Amino acid sequence: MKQRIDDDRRIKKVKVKNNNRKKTRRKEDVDNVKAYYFMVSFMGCLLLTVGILSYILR
Amino acid sequence: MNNSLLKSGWIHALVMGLIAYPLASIVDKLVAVNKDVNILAFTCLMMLSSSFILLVIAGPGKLTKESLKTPHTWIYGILETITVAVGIMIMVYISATEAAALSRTTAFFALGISLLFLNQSVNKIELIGSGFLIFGFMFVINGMDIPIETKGLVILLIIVKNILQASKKITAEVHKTNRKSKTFKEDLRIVGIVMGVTSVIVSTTFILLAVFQNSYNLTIHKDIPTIMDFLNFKTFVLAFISGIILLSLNKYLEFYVSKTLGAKYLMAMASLQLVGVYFLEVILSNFGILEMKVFSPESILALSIIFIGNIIIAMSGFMKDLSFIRRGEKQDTLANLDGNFIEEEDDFDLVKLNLANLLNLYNTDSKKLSTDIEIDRIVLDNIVNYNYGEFKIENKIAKKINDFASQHVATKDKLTKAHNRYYLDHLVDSLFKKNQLFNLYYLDLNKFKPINDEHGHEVGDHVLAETVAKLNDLESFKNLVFRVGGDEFVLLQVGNIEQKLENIITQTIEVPVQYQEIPLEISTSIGQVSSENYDNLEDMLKDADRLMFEHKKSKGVNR
Repeated sequence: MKQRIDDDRRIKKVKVKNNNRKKTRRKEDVDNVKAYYFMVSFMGCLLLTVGILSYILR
Repeated sequence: MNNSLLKSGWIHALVMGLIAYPLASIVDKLVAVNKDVNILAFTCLMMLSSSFILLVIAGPGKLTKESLKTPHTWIYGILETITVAVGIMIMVYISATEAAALSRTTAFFALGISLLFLNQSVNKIELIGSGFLIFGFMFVINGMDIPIETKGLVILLIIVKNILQASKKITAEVHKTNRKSKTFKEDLRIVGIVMGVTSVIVSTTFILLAVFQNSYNLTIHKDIPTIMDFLNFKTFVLAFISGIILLSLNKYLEFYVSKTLGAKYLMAMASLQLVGVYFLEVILSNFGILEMKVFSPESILALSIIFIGNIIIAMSGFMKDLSFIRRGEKQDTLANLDGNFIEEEDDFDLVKLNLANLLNLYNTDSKKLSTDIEIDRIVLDNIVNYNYGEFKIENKIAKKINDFASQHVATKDKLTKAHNRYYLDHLVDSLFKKNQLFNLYYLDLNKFKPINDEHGHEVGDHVLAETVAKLNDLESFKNLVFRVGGDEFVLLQVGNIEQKLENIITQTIEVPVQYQEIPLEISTSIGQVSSENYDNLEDMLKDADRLMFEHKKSKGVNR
């Protein structure tokens, strides 16, 4: 009986951990996308600024 | 690291040495001819463009944030900045040919750093190659036409620059996410991030220097660009095109070769650039685009010595890898790439589950388990406490745990920790095969059902587990207790079979089991058979069961 209760608890813990893991993963994915668009837009803006300024000043 | 990765590593290195590096070198030369293009502003903008295009091609996905956060990315950027700065300081004192020759001796420094910090071995052939590089290095230094008082400083700067170059490639080799990446797009994304960070660090440094020079009307170095150099349209267009076509390709190849072959072979293969540049110069000079450079005999000799040294080092690596590729084996030194660590979440969970089962078997005594399984207790605790993504399990550790679990957990009954019927079949089979005689005792617990009914299953389970523990404590049945039914057990007596042990078993079982200070009394009925009259387990069990039943009847107990 004790074993069964322990098992149930363990299964519950695993379920909670799985949910937490899924949440962590989703957060990681969102963070990756945010970091990516931050980098691309930053690089893009820099290039665009230098490009436009150098074109005006040529 | 599998063999296809090694093969593609060498192919990438060839493309890099013979095509990509020479093209970049020629473009640098063509740009340097333009007096209104500042080479440092050009380099900064080229890095920026390459980062942008690499990221655009790669698209969003895994390893982006990690690449941005990992110190390797920032160290690479800082090393690149210092290398560029030292490079322009050296250019004041030495010619472009001397600089090219000296920069090709970097493989020697990469070998040294790999040996000291990455525990990579250096073989005899590589030592011979290094000898050529040192000799070539000394030859170039000796031939330099600079005043003796500045020679020391120049030599020091050259050594520093070469160490920086080698460190940069080694940073690419050990770069955390570069090693993790598995797909082409991931590779591009990581290099894009590294180049982005690098371009920002390099550009910021030189813009600050430009502002400093401008504010104080100083000239730290004539090649340090002004703000207007960055805003030169020609510089921008040339840098943008070279960045998206050449630098992005070069950096991708560099990072790929660094992680597959290692920095030392990358640097050695990079010397093929000398051959590539020569052929490109011949072609371009025929079209009148570029003037063919005339080398002095000393320069040709120095370049040849350095080239031979590099080729010797590269060939040593290639032959070693070729033997691995032919044998179809994995290479130890690059094992990290293939994952010294478990990559899949399911595999991670399996190890965790097996470890949890083992700990259950050991009554959560991780210290004892650690000793038996020969894995550090801290590692076991970490596997228990952390989830996938939070902790890495080494492949060899995972294998140990899985193997140990399949030996111990799969053969045991979870509740009582007695062996199960599968293991009984297996063991008896092997005893018959070895013609080893043994006694089999078939036990059925009496008065067990009333305990279950009166006190509940929890108490019943406790009685079963305690009974098995008591039987396991008997020297004759250590690890030879099997649960074959609800309250039915089999004991095997291997060795000293003349001595019948029914009485000892009965006495042991009849010692009351304590449960929360309630003494619970049980007894047992036993049927015993000896293997000498049998050739299979089924018949033995059938007869032992019948004898046990007769014993039970004689004691007046209902089944």
